[in-house]
Amino acid sequence: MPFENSPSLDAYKNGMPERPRRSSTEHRRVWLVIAVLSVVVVLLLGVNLWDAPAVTHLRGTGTVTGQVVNERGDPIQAEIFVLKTALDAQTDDQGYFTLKQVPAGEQILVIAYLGVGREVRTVVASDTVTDLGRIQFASTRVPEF
Amino acid sequence: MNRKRGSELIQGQSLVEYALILALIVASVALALLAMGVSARDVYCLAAGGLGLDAQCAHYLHDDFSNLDGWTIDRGSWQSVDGMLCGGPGEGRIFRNLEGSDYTITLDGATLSQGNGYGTYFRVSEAPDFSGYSFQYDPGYGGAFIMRKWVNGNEISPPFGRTRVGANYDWWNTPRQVQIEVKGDTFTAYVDGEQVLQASDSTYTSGGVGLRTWDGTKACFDAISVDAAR
Repeated sequence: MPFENSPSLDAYKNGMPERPRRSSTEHRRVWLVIAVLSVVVVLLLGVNLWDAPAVTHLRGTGTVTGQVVNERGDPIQAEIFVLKTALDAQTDDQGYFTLKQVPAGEQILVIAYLGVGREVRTVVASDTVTDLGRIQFASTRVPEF
Repeated sequence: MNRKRGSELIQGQSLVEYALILALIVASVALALLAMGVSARDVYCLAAGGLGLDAQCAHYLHDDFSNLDGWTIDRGSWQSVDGMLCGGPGEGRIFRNLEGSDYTITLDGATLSQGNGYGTYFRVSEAPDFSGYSFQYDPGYGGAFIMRKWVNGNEISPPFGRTRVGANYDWWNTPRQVQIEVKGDTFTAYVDGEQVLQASDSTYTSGGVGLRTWDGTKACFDAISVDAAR
């Protein structure tokens, strides 16, 4: 820088000049980005926690009942699982089952008998009993095209 | 003096803001991947691959079946015979644990010598749970390739993916290469390099691999490889 363009000492008589401050618009923009990202993180956290046991309990639980019979209508001793949970039950001598504490919402039950399972979809409402009625179980593994 | 402190404060604040933005971006990406069922290993491998690093990530497993070390026989008869894994007859399951979600399984020299077919398990959890999926080379199912879901050792019927194969297909005594690409909730099966079936399910997001026989099946396999999905 040429000497004649140097600032005069008068410019420093009150100490070093202040650094230029960021404009309030820029400041606002940065905080807007932070706010948007925070919302995204909260939403993604919600998605990840949606099926967590603590959250499913917050959504409430219900009871699912039903009776499992074979093709001839005779009761069978089957196992019932609720997918993505540790819940299971076994039918009694008459083929009836009761599953308690099933998380509210759409659920897939698996009725299993002799190593073969069938899925039954249902919607469980909080604090209510959902009766699936008579479920006919075809144990065959033959092609179903 | 006060002005100087004020200036440092402003500069410090902006650093905090940018650090916060960076942390939120990292958290968003991690949570998004977690929501999609991508494991930490997959993320690391993706990053390593992107940086051109030859990480061990590319391969989960290669086994030429010279012995059965590392495999768990859940049921049935499985033996290493002349460098091949042979299973059957009867209901048989052999399993190998893997901490992976997205991968491609390649079975070389898969040969069905008798019976209704064999299955390849993927994203399956260890017994006694035995939940996951299987792709089945299944002449017994009316001559078809099928994909099944498994819940606590029970095979879910009907299969969630199935395709009939022409009546002239040579099911027995022909060594085949079977590949299953497991990516997200979509599973694609290839036999001898040709896509034969694609199906989707989102119940299970990770787990190991295995093989299955049933009824009168006798099947042998030359080698298995499991590589990270691309």
